Amino acid sequence: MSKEASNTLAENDGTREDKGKLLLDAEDAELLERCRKGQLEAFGAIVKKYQDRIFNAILRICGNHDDAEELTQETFVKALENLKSFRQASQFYTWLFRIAMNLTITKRRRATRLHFSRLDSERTDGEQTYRLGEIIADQHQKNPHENVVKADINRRVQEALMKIDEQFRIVVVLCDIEQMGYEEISRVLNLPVGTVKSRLHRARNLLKNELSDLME
Amino acid sequence: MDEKEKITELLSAYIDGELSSEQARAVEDLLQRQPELAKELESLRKVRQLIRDLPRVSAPDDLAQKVLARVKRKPRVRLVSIKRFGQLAAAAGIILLIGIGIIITQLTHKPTRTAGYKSPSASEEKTLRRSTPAPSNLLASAAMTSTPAKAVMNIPINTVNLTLTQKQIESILTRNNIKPADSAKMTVAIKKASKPDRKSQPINIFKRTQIKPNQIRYEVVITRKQLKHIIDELNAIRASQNVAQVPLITPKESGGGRGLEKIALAEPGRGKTKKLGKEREIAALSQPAPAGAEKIEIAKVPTPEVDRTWTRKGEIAKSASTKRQIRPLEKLHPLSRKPIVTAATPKESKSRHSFIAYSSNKAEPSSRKTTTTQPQLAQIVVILTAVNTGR
Repeated sequence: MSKEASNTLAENDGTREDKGKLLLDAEDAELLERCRKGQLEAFGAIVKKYQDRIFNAILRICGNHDDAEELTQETFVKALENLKSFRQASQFYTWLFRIAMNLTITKRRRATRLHFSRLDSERTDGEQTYRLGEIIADQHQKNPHENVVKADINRRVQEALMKIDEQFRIVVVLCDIEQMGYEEISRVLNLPVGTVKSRLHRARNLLKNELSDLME
Repeated sequence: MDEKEKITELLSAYIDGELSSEQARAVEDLLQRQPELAKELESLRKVRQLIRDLPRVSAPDDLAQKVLARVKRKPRVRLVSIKRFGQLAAAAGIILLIGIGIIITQLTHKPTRTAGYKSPSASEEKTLRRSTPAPSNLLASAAMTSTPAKAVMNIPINTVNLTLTQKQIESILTRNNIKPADSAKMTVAIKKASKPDRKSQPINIFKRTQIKPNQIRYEVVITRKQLKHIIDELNAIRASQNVAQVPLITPKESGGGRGLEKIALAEPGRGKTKKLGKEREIAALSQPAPAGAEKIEIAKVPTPEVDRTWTRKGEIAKSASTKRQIRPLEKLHPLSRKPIVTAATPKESKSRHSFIAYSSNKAEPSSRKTTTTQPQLAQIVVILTAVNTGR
């Protein structure tokens, strides 16, 4: 089973059933305890466990592979720095996402190095030149010819995501891609549940308008 | 928000399963009665499905390695806080590195103007302060000739007669049995004194450096006990100058850290570096950790089975019987937590170094208790800066 497939399964299995689950996962608790003892390999295990989720979420928000990688790295470094402040009252990944989203938002606002690239901009890789949207959309398509239609739809969806305001995009990514519940999103973003609900509603309406031709 | 929007917002929450059963039933009633709402619901579902169908992109394979490399590179992300250990050791008063840098500045104007002294005006005061090297500069210049000091205390002296002040200072130093030393000797002395768990011995040397024609700096390594004696005499020099004096630079400003002043001026055997009595030490060892705190013993805990074995939460980490072996062992453990108690059981430990227990609880600095077998011999840093306001 590919890494991607296993991730997808894990996501589907744990959709909203995790909603409201506050106790720390036993595996995470053990890894964190080992981290606190100074075992670097335990932290490595934590990174490996969550890197794909964090990376994918940030990538969908910022639309730039390099920035997503940088922000993912920063997320884990910051998490380690602040490990003492993790009170274990919430799931570790909720806390991790909170760091990731804060970093993404902050970096985006500073807009210094992190200029989120347009999806139709080009990136040269060896002799080939790709459009970023295609990279993101097609990265895991094993047979591009067979999946060309699907890839095109995905590219359109990603482009539509990038067009809507960041505050709406983040909520959509957390809800529909990360499949978090409203309560959990409110904890990650430190927003009232009502705000999460209304932002999500507005985001979906905006996306609906952007993707109206795909609705038919 | 109009009524229609409220309803569509409910639809969005409905497809996410975020409505209460009552709200969900109400929405279902509406959907049955209003076909356009059902269409809207379908659109929202499609949008959600399109987003969900986006492929999940995996992080680069080497991301974990990169993160770990960054962690190792970044000193403040070290799992083991060596810096903290250094601070603890300094605070514990096993040995505080003390350098006394005395910078005497004499302005290029008239060398003496003791008679008819007039207090400087506000603008003159500004000039005075500008002419005084900033504490950080003092520290930097002090650091150039010595290893980084754990704590430095600045005592600026403004003078109108550099030669006289120099004589006065050297008189004080020699009277207190503080001997002149060359650079090499001073460097070695400071290095020795900076080792926190080294057996503390009085060093008592000073080095004079002519920084500029009108500036002299003294680096002095002395014991805390001696500092207590000479600080009054140095202050007397300041008071006798008949020129405005720059306020004393607090240890905090000069990088000495919180509470240094108290340590510096504490009576031997008193204050934060007070040596715990043997009975207290034993009692402290048996004290339970505060509520919510984790008591971690990193000390040498000889047991009938394994003598001289360092343990941490019952886990045998490494066998170590000398102080030299302690520090590498410390590095194995995250000692970023503040100590709650330091204690030793004399019968069990032949080592002069005591047991240290750490807690994850955020103890106040005042709750730090540390031991040193010769607290009165701990060294301390003071930098004296003198500024001449004479014209």
